[in-house]
Amino acid sequence: MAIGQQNQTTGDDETDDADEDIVMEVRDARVQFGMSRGQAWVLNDVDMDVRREEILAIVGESGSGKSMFAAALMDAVEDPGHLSGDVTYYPRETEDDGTPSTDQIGSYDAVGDDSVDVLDMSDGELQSFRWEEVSMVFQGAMNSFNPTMKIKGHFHETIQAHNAVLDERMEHVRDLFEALHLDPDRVMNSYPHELSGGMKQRALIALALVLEPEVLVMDEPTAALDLLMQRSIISMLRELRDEFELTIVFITHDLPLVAGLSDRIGVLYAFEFVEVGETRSLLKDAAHPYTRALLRSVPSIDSDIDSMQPIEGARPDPVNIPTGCSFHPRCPIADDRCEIEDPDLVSAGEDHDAACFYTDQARSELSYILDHGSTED
Amino acid sequence: MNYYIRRFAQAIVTFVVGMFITFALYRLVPGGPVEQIMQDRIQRMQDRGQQVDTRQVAEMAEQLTGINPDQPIPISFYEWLRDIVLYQDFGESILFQDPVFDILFRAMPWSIFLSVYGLLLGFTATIAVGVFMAWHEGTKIDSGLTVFVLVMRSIPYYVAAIVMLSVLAFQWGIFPTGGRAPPAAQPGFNLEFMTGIARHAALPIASNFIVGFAGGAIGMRALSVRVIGADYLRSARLRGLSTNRILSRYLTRNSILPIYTGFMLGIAGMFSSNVITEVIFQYHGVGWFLLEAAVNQDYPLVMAAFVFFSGITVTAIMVADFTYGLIDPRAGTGATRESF
Ligand code: SF4
Repeated sequence: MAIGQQNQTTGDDETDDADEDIVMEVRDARVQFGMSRGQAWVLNDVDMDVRREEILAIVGESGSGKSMFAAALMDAVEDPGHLSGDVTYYPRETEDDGTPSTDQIGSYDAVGDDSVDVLDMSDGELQSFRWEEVSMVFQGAMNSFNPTMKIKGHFHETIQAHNAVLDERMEHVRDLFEALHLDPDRVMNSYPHELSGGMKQRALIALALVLEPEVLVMDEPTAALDLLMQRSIISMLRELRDEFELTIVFITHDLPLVAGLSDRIGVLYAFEFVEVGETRSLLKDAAHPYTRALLRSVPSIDSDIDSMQPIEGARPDPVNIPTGCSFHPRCPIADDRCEIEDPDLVSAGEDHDAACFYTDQARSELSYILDHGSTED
Repeated sequence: MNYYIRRFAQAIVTFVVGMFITFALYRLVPGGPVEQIMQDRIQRMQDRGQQVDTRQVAEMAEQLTGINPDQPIPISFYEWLRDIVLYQDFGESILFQDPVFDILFRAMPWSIFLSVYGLLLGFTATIAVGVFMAWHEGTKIDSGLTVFVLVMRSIPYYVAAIVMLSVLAFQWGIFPTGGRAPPAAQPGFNLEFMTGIARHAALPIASNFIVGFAGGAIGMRALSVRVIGADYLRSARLRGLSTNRILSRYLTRNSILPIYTGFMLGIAGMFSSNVITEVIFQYHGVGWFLLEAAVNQDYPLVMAAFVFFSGITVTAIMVADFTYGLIDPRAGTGATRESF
């Protein structure tokens, strides 16, 4: 574990030492699309540290850039999107030198001190890196399996593509299935259409973990499931993290859903993080007007999926992001300064940053009632 | 009752009804086979200045066609069908003076040879080109191939066949101008005969290839583009699967599902266009005999050829139905099926 100064993260410092063990570091990540109306920015110079073995929730409305952030973590932004900036991955330090850790199946060049520059990899390196170090569960689990192939085939082909030992991996898959409360024999021999949505989703999680990656990125993994299944998957994720020493990045539009799951929450608005903080602190005492608006629009933690009602005002347009603070057209306490200057993320409490000039004012003037139970683990 | 058995029975019924309609129509059209043959003979006898005995001619025509005009059609049909089923007796060809069954039975392998190769090549090319275009969607390769396919599609196969015949066979002499095998070669497994067969079949197969290929590639491209956009393809790529595996097991496999039935029905279409191909290349297959028979009022042979063609069609549809469940596991859950 790196021991260093208590500095908060600053954009320029590449080897930024915090007192946390960082597994992925994202700096100035930017995704651009050439559109007929002009350049669209769907991720705008975003910084984020993902700490080892944490569950980090990334919350945002649809079209806030959250899927882009997820894709950026494994350099999987689809054409014609273009990703620039830095994404650095820090493999786990092996305790006993000499023998590589079991999860280091592939061979990719480590840059300098074990850290890996994800955006600088060759195709072959990237191919190993994905799934062996960082893997992903996509939005649209219903269609993430090949409809003409049994579930088993997906596991086998993935293991073979990464030249891993089939028996050893399938043994691991059995453990995963057990942790996910799936019946291996039944699920493995089924075609995707023969499984329920929840089963498919859990099988997909197992498929993502077959090569024992360090980081699991989940993009809206529960959006298509019913509330009960959502809850049960959420609770399994915590167990998975503990059992398999995982880091989970959980992308969602549903703030209350992750309240009981995540260690930290990052709120994305208009392709930037507007608030990042420890879950309890962020929920209890949100500093950014947008986060507060999100929390206010939640009627009750026990209501259904559509609980997040739209906030007044239009969503930001990726081609015309407002100048100054991107939230100012919808912000109730915006003033002239907000229209010109773009606020940086600054500390708004312990392990809690927000990108707003008037966090104190926001906290005192914009009220919301937090439903109880949401922060109780 | 088992789905397969029911489906099979259904196919048989379709087949028999189809044959009955053909049989009845052939009889009912003004100037049916008996009358046509009678007129033909009377004409010939008159030309030769012979005495015309209409009754005698009528008897002869009846014997040739095996038709008794006084018998009701359903009963004739029953007898005709009974002879076919029990004795494989389709009657005797008027033109070739041989049992029809023997003629067609000998001709059948040749037609199947042409059609199957033409189909296999045509469909393989359709799939390969369509998937290839989709994989390179939006590039110059894609638009170039689109133009090529559209041009291919707009050339009728019989025109292509005639052009190939006149240029490659008659002018340049690369291929034989007609027939099934070199007349001098000893039939059997010898090199001369085998290469002879291949060279004789080359142009007809090329023409059938055009039938099988035409147009399908554009549709295949569209289907593949849809599959390329699917979540499971993206997931497969990120999981690090090789391009080969993605192309075969993911892309091709899933994009052929919607056109699979079309392919099977294409078999039937292929056999019917094969009639013209065989005539152009003087290739003595079932199609060639059908046309000869039709032109010469060889009624038993025409009917038997019809049986052959409707048999192929019904079988193709049935096979398409039966095998669809094998290539698309989801088909088994459909409301129209109960087995699987
Ligand atoms: S900076 Fe201004 S506009 Fe932006 S959130 Fe804060 S108060 Fe609102």
